[in-house]
Amino acid sequence: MRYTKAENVEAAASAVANGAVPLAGGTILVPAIARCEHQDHTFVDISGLAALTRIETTDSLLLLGSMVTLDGLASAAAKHNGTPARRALFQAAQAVGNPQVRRSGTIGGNIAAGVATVDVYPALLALEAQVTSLHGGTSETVPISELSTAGRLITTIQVPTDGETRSAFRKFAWRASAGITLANVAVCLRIRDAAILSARIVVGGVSARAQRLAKAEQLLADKPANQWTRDLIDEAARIGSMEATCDLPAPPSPEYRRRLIAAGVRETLSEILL
Amino acid sequence: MMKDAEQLDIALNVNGVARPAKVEPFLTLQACLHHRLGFREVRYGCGEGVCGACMVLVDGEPKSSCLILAVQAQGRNIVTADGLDVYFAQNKNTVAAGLRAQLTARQAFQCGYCSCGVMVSAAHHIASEASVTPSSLKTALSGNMCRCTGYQQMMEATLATSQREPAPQSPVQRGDLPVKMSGAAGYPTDQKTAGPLIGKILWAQYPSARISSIDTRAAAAVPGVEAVLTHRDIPKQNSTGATSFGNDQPLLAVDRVRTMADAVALVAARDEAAAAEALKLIQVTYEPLQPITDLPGAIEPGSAKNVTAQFVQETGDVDAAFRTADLVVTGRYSNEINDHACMELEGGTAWMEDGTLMIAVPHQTAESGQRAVSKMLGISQDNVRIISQNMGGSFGKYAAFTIEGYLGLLAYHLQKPVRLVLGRDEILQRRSKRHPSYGDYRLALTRDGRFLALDATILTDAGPYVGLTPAVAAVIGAEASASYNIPSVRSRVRGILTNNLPTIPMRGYGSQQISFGVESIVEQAAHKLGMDPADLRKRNYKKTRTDGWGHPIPGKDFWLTQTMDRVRELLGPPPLCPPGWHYGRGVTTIHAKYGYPYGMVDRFVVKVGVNKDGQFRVECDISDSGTAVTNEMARLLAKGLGLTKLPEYVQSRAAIDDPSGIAFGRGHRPSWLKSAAYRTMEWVQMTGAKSLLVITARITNPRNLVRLQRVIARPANFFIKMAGNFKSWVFPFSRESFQPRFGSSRSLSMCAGAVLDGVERFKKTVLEVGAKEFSSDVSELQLDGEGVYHSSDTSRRLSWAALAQRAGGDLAVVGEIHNPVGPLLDPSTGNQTGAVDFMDGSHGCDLLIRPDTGQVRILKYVAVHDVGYAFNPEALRGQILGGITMGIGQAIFESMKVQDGKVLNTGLHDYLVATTLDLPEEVKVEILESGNGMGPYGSKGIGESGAVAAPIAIANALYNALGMQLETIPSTPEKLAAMADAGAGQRSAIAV
Ligand SMILES: Cc1cc2nc3c(=O)[nH]c(=O)nc-3n(C[C@H](O)[C@H](O)[C@H](O)COP(=O)(O)OP(=O)(O)OC[C@H]3O[C@@H](n4cnc5c(N)ncnc54)[C@H](O)[C@@H]3O)c2cc1C
Ligand code: FES
Ligand code: FES
Repeated sequence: MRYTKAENVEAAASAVANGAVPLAGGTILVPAIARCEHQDHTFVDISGLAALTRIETTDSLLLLGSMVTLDGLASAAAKHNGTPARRALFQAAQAVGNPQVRRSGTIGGNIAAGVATVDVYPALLALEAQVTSLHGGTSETVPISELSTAGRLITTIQVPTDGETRSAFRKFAWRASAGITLANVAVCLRIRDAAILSARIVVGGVSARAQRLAKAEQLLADKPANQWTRDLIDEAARIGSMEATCDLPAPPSPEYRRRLIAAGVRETLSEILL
Repeated sequence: MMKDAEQLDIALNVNGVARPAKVEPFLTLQACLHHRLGFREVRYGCGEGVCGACMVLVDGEPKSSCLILAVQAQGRNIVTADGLDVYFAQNKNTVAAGLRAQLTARQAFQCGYCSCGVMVSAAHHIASEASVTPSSLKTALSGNMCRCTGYQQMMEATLATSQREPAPQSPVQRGDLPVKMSGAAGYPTDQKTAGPLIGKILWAQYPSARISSIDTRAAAAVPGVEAVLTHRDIPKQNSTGATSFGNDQPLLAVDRVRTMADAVALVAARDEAAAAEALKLIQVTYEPLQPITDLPGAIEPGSAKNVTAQFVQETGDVDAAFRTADLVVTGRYSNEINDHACMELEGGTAWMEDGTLMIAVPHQTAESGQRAVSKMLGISQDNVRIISQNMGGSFGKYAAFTIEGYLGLLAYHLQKPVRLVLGRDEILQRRSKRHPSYGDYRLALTRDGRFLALDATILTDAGPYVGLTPAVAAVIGAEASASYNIPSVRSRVRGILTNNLPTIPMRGYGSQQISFGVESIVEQAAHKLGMDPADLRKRNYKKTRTDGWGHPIPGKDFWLTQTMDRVRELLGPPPLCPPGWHYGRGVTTIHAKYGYPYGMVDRFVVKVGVNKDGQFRVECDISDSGTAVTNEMARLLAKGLGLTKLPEYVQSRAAIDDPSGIAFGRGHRPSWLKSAAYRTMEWVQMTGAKSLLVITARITNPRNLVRLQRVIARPANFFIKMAGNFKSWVFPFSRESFQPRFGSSRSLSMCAGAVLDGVERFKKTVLEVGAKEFSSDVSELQLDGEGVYHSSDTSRRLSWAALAQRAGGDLAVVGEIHNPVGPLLDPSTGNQTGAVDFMDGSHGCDLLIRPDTGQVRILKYVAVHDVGYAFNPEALRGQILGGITMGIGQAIFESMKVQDGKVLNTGLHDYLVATTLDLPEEVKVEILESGNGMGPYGSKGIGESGAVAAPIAIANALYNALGMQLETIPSTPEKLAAMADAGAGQRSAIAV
């Protein structure tokens, strides 16, 4: 195994383009390195790059460097909690692991890890985040759903926001701290003139990658405020939990995971609508 | 092919001091600090950011040093637990010193392994948070796992520190805690970490297979590999495991593997990578066989095949009682396997020192480990030493054996230091577990709730080797009547051989298994009768305390009713149940036996003495797994002699080398000849006693068993009579020397008894030495905290140091405690006999469950225990709190995924040890002192009982909330949610 420390973002990006693996917070990579699982890899340490740790907010955008830690994100929540639009993101960051994992783990790592049970990635998917990455010297910004990380260094994440958006997130795990996500649900609704303009419901932790629940989203689209009832929410939860693909081989069973999805959809929608 | 790893020069700043180091790029900061730089306070429990044992401040932030590479820490400011005081003091902040004082005064730790990580998190939280609240604190400590304490006392200490309260004046001095709360402790995995070879184990690939060949050539050729050993390299006896009942477990597999826990080969190499590479290259040709993994599937009706232990006991006329009963309730209750999940990993280092093989591993009974290794290597037991003064947890895991055999073989073969520490995945997947059991229970009652008869048939899975299964089966069977007066009881327990993991007791030999079954059937009876479960229990409690022979001891009633009444008071009125949740209350009682119920032996020996510098010491071969026993021994010695300074506790086998104490009493060490002779005599008796156990384990008719035991015991009785009151060094042993030194709940009362005896003997000896010096009579001398003086001329005095010098530099005696030995197992009353005592207590809890997800919220948990006499109430409270927290996990989420004999859990991220955020919202523990125990001052054991009762109280509360009874523990939220659906119609409102 080889270790190099990146001097700047450009050098890091070019190392990554040449096959080096970015080492960010290390919460996933370091335990694997210690188990001798990466003997043939070259790592480029991006943890010292201050350029990747900025947090900026404008009226329409929250801009996050890829090295912003989950704790940094969650404590930014203290400042921005009044923004219901991004609530799901803060809730997801707070739901990750335990204090030390949140202090080390980064938002970039959460996106790039490609692990089924991550929490922040589904929230970003629901919030229609855009991700900027460098392939060598070339920069590219794509919707997070279209991101491919091969040979790329993620530099920033842009979370759009406006006065019409409301979001919420729920995670289910059996242990309250450092519990593995058994299912999570991120919901993002755009509400205009007392009606749901559009809905995005994302479920993670039940399949290899987070997925959208199109039928449940459809049920909610265009629903005016006078129809925001428990029944509507229950129906969305029922439909959503049925349509989700639950195919992780590990226990608990797909049936149980569907229960969790239903509970998650019900709770997030209730938080926003009721 | 391996090449030597690249080494990088780095400069770390640790606790304000520049520390250069040479590191490989893959070395973690934890390994660098702990192994290379000697910061032993930076401990290790998981290597994946879950447990927090490795926590340090990095640039002022608490981080897991196992999640950081050492190279990444270049130029960072690192502060370990030992550096906290200085670090915070720079900013005139006394938080660290205050915290340390509070944690010690409140006895916040037990084994102490988690303590350094906890202090880093807690100090940072106090220093950085404007107002520390119980809930902010729970979150702040939620990345620090503690297996022992249940977290309450450390949270109380942290809160008090944040409010700048002075540390409470503790009546109890704890010499062990400040040591454990720093790098000075010296746990087995701390020993000789720099430079040893790295050992690894090649485990079986199948739970059951024949081995046709093992080829180690390619592995041995890997550069850096120094040894690849198989069964062929074992000089003498290829065996490991608990050998009390049989020698059936090989240290290294020969031509057969019977469980995933079998080891096939050992590797020692210069580094991790070479060792890992070598493991991959060992070629083992297997012929897989169909494994037996399902308990009922392992037995054939009417056949003794696969039955390794059998216990049958019947009192009264069970069948008649069932025929005439008003009500009969039946149920099947089981418990799955559990891992002890000690925070310190299993392992250590072995090395040669002046011809002696030194092995630092966790071990509850170093003596038996030494014996096993010496037999395996064919060397004298005098040339093997196990060092395990402190252990990062045990809970029974290290009661019989640990990895001393593997370490010993590697280090002895190579004559070099070897470090072998199992990964958490290996501990979960390859090491012994608590006996899983399942049983069919029938209870016969009268209409008004009097128990008439209990019939229990229980199967318990031993794994492929006998281990301690006969003892566990015996306890399961003998405890069948639990807290209750049941006129007719039949219990049939069989220990079954399977290809699952081997077994070892965990917090109680089988108590958990049987208590869950009995308390569940009682709870079900209450539902059927429509009776209050607490009242039904109270109606049937055993009242009169009996001795080990079943004879009533007048005036010493069991305090079961008192504990239950107090539990109900503490629970108070039921809380409001929020919408979307179901509420349930559960209570249970614990009346578990402890002691030596075999009617044979119960003896402890302890050496107490003073050296020429006036330093007092207590020595015995007990390891400290966190029960405060070693500290208590030191306290009792100080109290007995009026010393102001707490004596030191040292783990040694001195008292075993000279059990008569005669040599020490004269200020000598016993000659090697004499200690060899003692050891031989002990061996003869051990072997005798052991063959007795082996034979008896095969006998199923208790009457024959007792007859046989009586015959064998006869000569031993003669020796006891011979030894009588005068202590003859000719007969230092009697039949009670069988396994004389053993730790469990009772070790405190036993050790205390031995120290108190030692104090008396010590006083006598020093008076004799003084009398000789002053040429006067013993009756003219007196003792005080400083030494001996002449009553008529107080200027004539000899200090402790002077006394020791007069006696040749070291003045010591051996104190001992014998519990009465009596007739053996009594088939007519079903009572196990001998030195048996009972841990009594009641628990209760209020909880909420969400029927859709199965999520459980424990609102309130209360426990009331009769401890007989509390030597150290706060330490007892800590034991119970720890048991409750362990019990929460074991009721609900400490579940192992097992498939065809293979455990799939890989670490603490998926074996769910409870954290601060899983605790009940409110916990209350109370201690009653009946003075009824068999220990000194009427004290009792306590350790296991909290952990035994807690899952049952929770299970009963869930039953009341769901209207469906839990048949298995743990029952995960997945199961609970399914039960909620099924029970939706049946919910009955039972108010307690
Ligand atoms: C005990 C524990 C509990 C956890 N619990 C949770 C949980 O509850 N929820 C959850 O979501 N996660 C959890 N995690 C996983 C992990 O901590 C987080 O997902 C974290 O966000 C990963 O970030 P990192 O910076 O540590 O990643 P790293 O380990 O540094 O990297 C992870 C992967 O991402 C790649 N990568 C990192 N940064 C970039 C970048 N800028 N550009 C391209 N590729 C990059 C790396 O090359 C690597 O392949 C847990 C981890 C641990 C150890
Ligand atoms: S060893 Fe680092 S968190 Fe467990
Ligand atoms: S005291 Fe915390 S793990 Fe033992």
